[in-house]
Amino acid sequence: MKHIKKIQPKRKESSKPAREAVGLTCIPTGNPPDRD
Amino acid sequence: MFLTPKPYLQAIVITDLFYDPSFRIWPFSCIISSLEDIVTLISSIGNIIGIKSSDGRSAAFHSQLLEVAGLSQDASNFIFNKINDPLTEVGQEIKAWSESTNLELKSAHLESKIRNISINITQICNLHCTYCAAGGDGTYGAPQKKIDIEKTLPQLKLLLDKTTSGTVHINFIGGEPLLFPMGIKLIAEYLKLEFKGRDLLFKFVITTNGTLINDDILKILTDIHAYVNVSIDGTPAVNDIRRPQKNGTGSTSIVLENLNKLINVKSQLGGLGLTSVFDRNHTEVFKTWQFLSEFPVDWIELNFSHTETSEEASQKFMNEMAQVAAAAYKKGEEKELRKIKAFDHYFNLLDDQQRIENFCGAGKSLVVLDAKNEVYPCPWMVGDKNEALGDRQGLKTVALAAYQTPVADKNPCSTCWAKFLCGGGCMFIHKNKTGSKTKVDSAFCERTKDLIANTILYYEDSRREAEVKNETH
Repeated sequence: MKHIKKIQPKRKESSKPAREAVGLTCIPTGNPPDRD
Repeated sequence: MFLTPKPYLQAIVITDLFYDPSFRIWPFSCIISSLEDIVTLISSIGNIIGIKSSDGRSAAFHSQLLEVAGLSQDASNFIFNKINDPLTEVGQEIKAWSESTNLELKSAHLESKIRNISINITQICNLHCTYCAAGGDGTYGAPQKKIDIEKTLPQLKLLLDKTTSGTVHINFIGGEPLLFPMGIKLIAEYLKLEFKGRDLLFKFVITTNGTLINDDILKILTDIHAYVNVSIDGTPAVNDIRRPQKNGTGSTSIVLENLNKLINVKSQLGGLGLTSVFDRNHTEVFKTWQFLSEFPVDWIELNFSHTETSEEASQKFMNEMAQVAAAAYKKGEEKELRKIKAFDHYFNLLDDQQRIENFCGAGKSLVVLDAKNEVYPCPWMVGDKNEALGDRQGLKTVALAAYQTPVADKNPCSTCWAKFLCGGGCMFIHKNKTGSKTKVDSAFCERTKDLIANTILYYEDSRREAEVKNETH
């Protein structure tokens, strides 16, 4: 497209299971930054 | 052009509000609003969201497909300046994008199995933080020195019964979890041994006040390859007041000394990060980030307190987070920005194109085991018997069933452009403010949308720059 330049997402490899529906910053759960 | 501009960010919603079938043209007009006003456009939000910062950056976001795009000058004019004849080339392009599908998009519907267990390994603490949400003293009103390991291990086995593959986060919390380091060691060793035959990867997370680190504890943390979160609220002047020891003296000098010990073994840990909490008594997010960002850690969490209801403090937090993002990006572009967990989280979602339907998975993929072996949906609900999901005798099927419907479907999120990056928000925060888990706290929604809009701008900027560099080489 000429006017809309979509950003290509850096997807993880397709064999990896869907990411967890783990939301953000629940302090005591301390979800690490490299969650799947 | 903007009638009620909000500092820093403005968003545009393309909508079909003014569609007149007799025109037989693409049905949309352009409504210009500040971010706050988006919430009011409930029935008329289209798929494409324009976001523009006061420093001139802009991006577009497909709210259903989670796609981000840069805009040509014509497209930007089309969206932001209301020059929007849909028969033009640019109009047709935007229409095509709005109506397109994406086969790569991952479903929001995940299986109902536990993937996060937080364990209150103790319910006592050696600090007396001014804002402690665990009953004011780390006990939740029911002190318990140590969780009973013999009762805990079979409970963990039961909770993970249906979890056959993937990553499982075990989060050790308290009280102060490092008052019972042997409990952490025993549980970690048990899980690795008990589930050896399954395709599970355990990640052990410890959220600590950082005052108790010694050689024995360092050995346990490195042995289990722990992800360590150290709580610190900023410079010593701030942290000593907010996070004092029980005798009233500050804790910062001890924490910083121990942080160095952790930094020295960081390569043997899963990761090391710092966590700060902000509320009406502490809104200096930018200064805090400046202080924390000097430490060689893997991540920094900047959290607005779950129990804070001040809208003024919330607004200040948003403004300061925008300043933090700008400074971090200037310092080290995407890499530095993504050290801040909130921004990293949304970068991950945009990259993975994974819709989120539950903000945190409380009661569905996340449960908490308190130090008395009772089960709760989330750490903030510990001690509230009405919220208990079970005990060591077993789980309450009916109570668990209530959490299986996606939060984003139960809450009034259906027309929110940020729905699939937010997941319906925090049930505890909503209830704390409005009295109902499914009646949203508007300040929470604004904070979340503000963070997401900011992230989208930096996502577009950083990836476009990267693509230009790749094309050049």
